[in-house]
Amino acid sequence: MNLSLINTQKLFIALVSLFLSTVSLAQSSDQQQRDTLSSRGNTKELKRAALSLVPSSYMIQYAGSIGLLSAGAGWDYGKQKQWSTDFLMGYVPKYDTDRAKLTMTIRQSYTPWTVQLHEQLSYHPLRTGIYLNTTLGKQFWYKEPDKYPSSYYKFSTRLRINIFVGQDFSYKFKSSTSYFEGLKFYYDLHTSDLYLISGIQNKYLKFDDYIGLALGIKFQIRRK
Amino acid sequence: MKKFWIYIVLASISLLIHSCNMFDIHPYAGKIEGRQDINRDNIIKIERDYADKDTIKYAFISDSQRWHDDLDDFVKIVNKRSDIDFIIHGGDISDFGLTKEFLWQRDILEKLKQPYVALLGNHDCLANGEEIFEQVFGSPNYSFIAGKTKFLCLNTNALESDYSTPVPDFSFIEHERQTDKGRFEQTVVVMHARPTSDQFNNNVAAVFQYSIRQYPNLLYCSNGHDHTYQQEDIFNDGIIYYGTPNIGKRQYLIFTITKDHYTHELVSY
Repeated sequence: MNLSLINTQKLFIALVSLFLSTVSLAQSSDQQQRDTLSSRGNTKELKRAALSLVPSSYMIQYAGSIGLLSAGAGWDYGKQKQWSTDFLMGYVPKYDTDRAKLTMTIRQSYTPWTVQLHEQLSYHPLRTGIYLNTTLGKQFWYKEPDKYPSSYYKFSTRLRINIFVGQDFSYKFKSSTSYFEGLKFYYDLHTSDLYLISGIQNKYLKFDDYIGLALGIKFQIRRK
Repeated sequence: MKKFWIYIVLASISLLIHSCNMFDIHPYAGKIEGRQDINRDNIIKIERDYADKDTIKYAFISDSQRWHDDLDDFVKIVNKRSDIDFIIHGGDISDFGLTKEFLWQRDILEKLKQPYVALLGNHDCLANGEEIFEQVFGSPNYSFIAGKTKFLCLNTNALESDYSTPVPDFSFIEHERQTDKGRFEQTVVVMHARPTSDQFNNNVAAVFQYSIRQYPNLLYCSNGHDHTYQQEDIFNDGIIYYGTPNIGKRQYLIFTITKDHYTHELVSY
């Protein structure tokens, strides 16, 4: 096997540290904002800090190589809330295999531009990012078990690295007191390391063979 | 400016509608659409159509994982020939065990005009790949008779298994020797990984050789897995193991079998 995929473990660590650095960056800008608002009381600050641990959205998603249906929670941050980090659990039915599967996903997305179409409706022409997905079950391994000669299979069946490009529409409710302040409908075109390498190497494979489509709804939680 | 965005929205919606068949549930979802149980159906064809043939000529390909273009070209080339009775794929249909890989390769092989059968390769066992293989192609151990020759097709990927599944399956080998005794006079054994390879259970290599030599008139063995052309008398007993290169080398073997005799040819394209 002459496959020269990137060492997935190293990449995973790199991505996690990259993710952590964006979070801390976002936090430090939050900190600056808070400093300028220091006239407000300490209680408010504390309340704010506690709130940032609570998710700012819940979501459900259809498809996306992470399950038939997935559900999760996300945190939006940054000045324009252009960054978000989502955690999802996905369910893969049995289909023609022996058992159904559960998956876990961490997704980092970046939504740079907002277009206000209407008082309540806004459009984000680009959302993009990366998500890591692991499939639970002993059939799937991060690294091949010890029985194999070292580097026998140079990839992981458990960890998929996906990239995506998509768009979304956000709808804000009229009410200013409801628990949810709005809905966000998004779609992503995505591919994973293994699909991409197959697609790039073979003219036979068409765009829709190795690029997938995911649909999702985010329920945005009101921040006070 | 607003109009511009409306156009973008419309374009996006039409792209969405166009891509309705693009939902991918999971790389190992195991959602199989299209033809299944291919080996069983094609074996019926082979046994029916070639029952009275004195000369059998077939192509042996292997290890087509992630070489979709080269497999597709092979199909086009072999479809132009009129002298090939059937095609045996020596395993490694998928590279990563992905459900889609099995279906991509199946859809290429389905364009073959002649019947084909596929063996289980070690890469086909990855994740839940073996479950997909069994649905799409069939059991990892099987046999068929073409003319007067029995083809014993064996799973030899012992490294992928544990002791709960015997690989190679000696009781299957013994059972098949007794089955359809009157219908065949000679035997060919086909496998993905040959004895001495990293996948084979080499502790039983000599026993394996002994048990297949009990078959009537064993002519030769052939295998894939090593991605290179091989012609070796591994056990120094006159039984040659022929290894076929991976399809990415754009090479395949052709075997011609007559009574008590066979020839082989390495073809490049």
